[in-house]
Amino acid sequence: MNEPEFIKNILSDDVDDKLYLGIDVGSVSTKCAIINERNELLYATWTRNDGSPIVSTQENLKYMEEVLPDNIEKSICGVGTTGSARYLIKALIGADIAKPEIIAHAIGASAYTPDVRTILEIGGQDSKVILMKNGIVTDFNMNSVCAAGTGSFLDHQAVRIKVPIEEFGDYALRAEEEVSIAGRCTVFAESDMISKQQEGYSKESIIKGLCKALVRNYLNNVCKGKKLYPPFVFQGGVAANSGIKNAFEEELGYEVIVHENYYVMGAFGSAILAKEHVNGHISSFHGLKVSEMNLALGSFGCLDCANRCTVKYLVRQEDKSRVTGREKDDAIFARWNSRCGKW
Amino acid sequence: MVNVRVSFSRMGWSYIFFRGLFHDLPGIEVVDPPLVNTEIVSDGVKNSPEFVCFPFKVILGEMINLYRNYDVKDFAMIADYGPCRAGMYGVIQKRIMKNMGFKDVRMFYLRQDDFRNLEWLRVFRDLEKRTGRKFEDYKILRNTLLFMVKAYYVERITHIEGLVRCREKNKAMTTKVVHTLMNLLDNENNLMKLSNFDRTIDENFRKIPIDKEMEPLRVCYTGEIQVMLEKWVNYDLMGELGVMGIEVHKQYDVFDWVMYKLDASKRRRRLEHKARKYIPMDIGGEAVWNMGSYLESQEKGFDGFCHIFPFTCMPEISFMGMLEAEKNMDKFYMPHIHFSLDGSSGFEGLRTRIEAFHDLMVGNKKNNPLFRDVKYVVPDEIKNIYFKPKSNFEYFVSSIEKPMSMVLTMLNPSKKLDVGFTVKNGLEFFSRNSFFGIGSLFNL
Repeated sequence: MNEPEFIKNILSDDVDDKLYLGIDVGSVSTKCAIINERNELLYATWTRNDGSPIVSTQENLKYMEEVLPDNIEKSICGVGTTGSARYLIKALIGADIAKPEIIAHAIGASAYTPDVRTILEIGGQDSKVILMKNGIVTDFNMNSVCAAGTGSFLDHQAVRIKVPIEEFGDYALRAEEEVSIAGRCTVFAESDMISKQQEGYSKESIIKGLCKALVRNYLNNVCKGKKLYPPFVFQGGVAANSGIKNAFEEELGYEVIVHENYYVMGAFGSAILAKEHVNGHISSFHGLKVSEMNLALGSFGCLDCANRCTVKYLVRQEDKSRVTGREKDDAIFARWNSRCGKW
Repeated sequence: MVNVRVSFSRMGWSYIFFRGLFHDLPGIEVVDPPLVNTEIVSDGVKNSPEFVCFPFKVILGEMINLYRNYDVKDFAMIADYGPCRAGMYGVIQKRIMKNMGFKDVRMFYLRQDDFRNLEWLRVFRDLEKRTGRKFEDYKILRNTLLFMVKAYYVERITHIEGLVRCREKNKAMTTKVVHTLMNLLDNENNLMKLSNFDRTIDENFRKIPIDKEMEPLRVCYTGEIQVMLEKWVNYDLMGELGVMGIEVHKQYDVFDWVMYKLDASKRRRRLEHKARKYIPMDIGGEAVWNMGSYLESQEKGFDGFCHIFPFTCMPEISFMGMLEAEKNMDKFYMPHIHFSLDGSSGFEGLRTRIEAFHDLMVGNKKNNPLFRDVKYVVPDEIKNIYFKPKSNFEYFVSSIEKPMSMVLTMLNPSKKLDVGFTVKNGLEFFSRNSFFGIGSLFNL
C-alpha cells in the first residue's frame, strides 16, 4: 500500500463533532480532507495514484480506517468529490455531491482568504486561473490545448536532471545568473534545457529559468489578457515549489500567498460544498467498507431513448464476465452517466 | 444525358434543406450525407493542411467518405469572396481530392457572396451542362422556395428545442420530438402544406410536458456556424446545457445567414449596429455578430455567454481577445466561456468547464445584484406553445408576415438599424430605382 506523502492529522481520539469528507482525485494524485462544522481542516493526505483512481481511493479509505478513531465512519455526515474522476468516485463511495475542481478550489481558497481576487492553481496536468469578487467566482480559465508547465512536466524534468522534485524550489532560489528557456512547449523546453546544460550553465540557473518560463507561459496562455487583481493565492501541487512562487511574485509585482494546506485545497473545498449540500440531511455515503471490495469498471450504450448515452457501471471483479450492466443484479455496485437518470 | 449523384456536407440538420434545393430535378439523384463520425473526421484530418480550421477538415472527410463508399463524384459547396477563408474551401478541397487520386471529382459552387445578384443560379446551369438536360424554370423557383422555407423551419425547430429542453419533465422527450419534426419536414415537399408547418411544430412541442413555473438560467449560444450546427463536432453542447437546466438561446443558423446575404436580416443588421463601436466591419467567422449578441444578451439580462469556435479560426480568436480586453473596463460584465474545438479535444474537459460555468452562473444569480434583480421574461415561443396557443388567424398572419417583412427589409435602403418600412424610406427607394426617372422628381 502507498503511504501518503503528506499527512496532516490533528483529529482528537474521541470524535463527537459532525465531520465532512472531501476527496479530490486528480490525474496524478488523490487528496483527502476531513473538516468539522467550523470549516477547520482536521485531517489531510496526499497520495500519488499511479493512474488508478479506484484502487487509490480504496487505499486511502483503508488508511483512514487504520489511523483515525473507530467511530469515524459514523461521524462522517457528508462526502464530496472533485477532480477529473469525480463521477467515478462519487459512484464508488456514494458521495453526496460531485463538483468540478474549479469551484472546489475557489471555495477552498476563499475559506482561508475571504477577500481573495485571483487564484492561481497549477496541478498535475492542468492549470487554471480563477477570478473572484466578493466571494463569487466571476471568471475562470483552464489550459485548453496544452499541458506545458504543469506538475507532470516539472516531475519529468526533475527526474531527468536528477534533482529531487522537493528541492526544485531551493535550487531555483540559489541561482545566480538568469537563463532564458523556451516555455511554450514541453518538448522544446526540454531541448532548450539540454542545450543550455551543454553550454555550461549551472543546474540552479537552468531550474530558475525553467520556473520563469513556466510562469510566463501560464500568464500568456491561461490568463490570456485577463486583468488580475491582488490578493493572489497560489495552490495546487506545484505551489510546493518556491521557485515558481518567486517567479510569480516577480512577474506580477505583488505578494503571492501560499497556504500551509495548499496541496489539499480542492478536497477541502469539496468537503465544504458537501457540508452545504447535505445541510442536516442524511448522507448517502456507503461507509469505509468500500475499501474491501474488488471492483471493475464497465460500460454499455443505452438505446432506450434518443439521447444514446454511454452508461458506465461498477461491478464486482468476479462477476464482470457474467454481467452486461443492464440487468438488476446484486453484483452491480453503481451505474451513472445517463442523462435521464434512469440507471 | 447522364444521371448524376450529388451530395454535400451534412452540417447538422442542414442537409434537409440542401436536399430541397436539388429536389426532383431530371437526371439528379441526391445522396444523403451520412452522420459525421470518427472515421470521417480522421480521414479529413489526415488529408488537410495542418492549421486549416476544423470545418474544412470535417467537410473534406465527408466528401472523401461519400466518394469512397457512396459513389458520389459531384459535390455542391459554397464559394464566397468574404473576409473568411471558408469561401475558398471548395476549390482547395477539390484540388486535394484530385491529388489523392479521385480524378473525376466535380464541384458545383454555390456563389454566396451576394445572393441578390443571382450568381448562385449558376449552380443549376452547371448541373444542366453536366446532366445534359434542361431544368424547367418553375422547378428552379420551387426548389429555391423549398430551400428557404425548409431552412426557416429547421432554424425555428432548433431554436425552440434550445428553449424547451431545460423545462421538459420527461428526459429526452425534446430530442425525440425534434427528430419526429425533422422527419416530417424532410418528407414534405408540398409548398402549400409547408406554409402551415408552424402549426405542426407548435402542436408537436405541446406534447412535451413541461415545468411551467420554471425560471431557468439563460445562456446566449453563439459561435462559428459550422461547429455550432454539427453535433459530432460540438459534442451536442446545446443538449448538454439544456439537460443541466439552462435555457439556450441559439443565435445563428443557415437561414439567418442566407437572409443576411440577401440583405434581409433585420437581426444581423441590429447586431452589427450594436457591435460597430468595437468591430466596425465583418472580419470573417461570426465575429461581428458575436459581439453584437454579447451586448444584446447582456442588455436583456442573460446569465452567460457560450461561444464555440474551431481551433485556429482567427476571426473568432480575435473576437475572444477583444471581449477579454473590454471586460477589463467593467463595461462587459456578463460571464463568458469559450470552447475551441477540434478533433482531438475531449468531452471530459468540456464537461468540467460547463459545470463550473453553471456553478458560476448560479452563484451570480444568488449573490450578484447585476443578475439577481433581473426579471425573467418567458420567451415568446414558449408563450405561444404552452400558455397562449395561437388562433388560426394568427397562424395565417404569421405565415404572411415573415416573407413580407423579409422583402421589406431587403428593399429598405437605410442600413442603419432595424427600422421598419416607412413611407420616407419607400419613396427614397423609389426615387433611386425607378426606371423612368420619375422618382427623381421627388428628389429626396
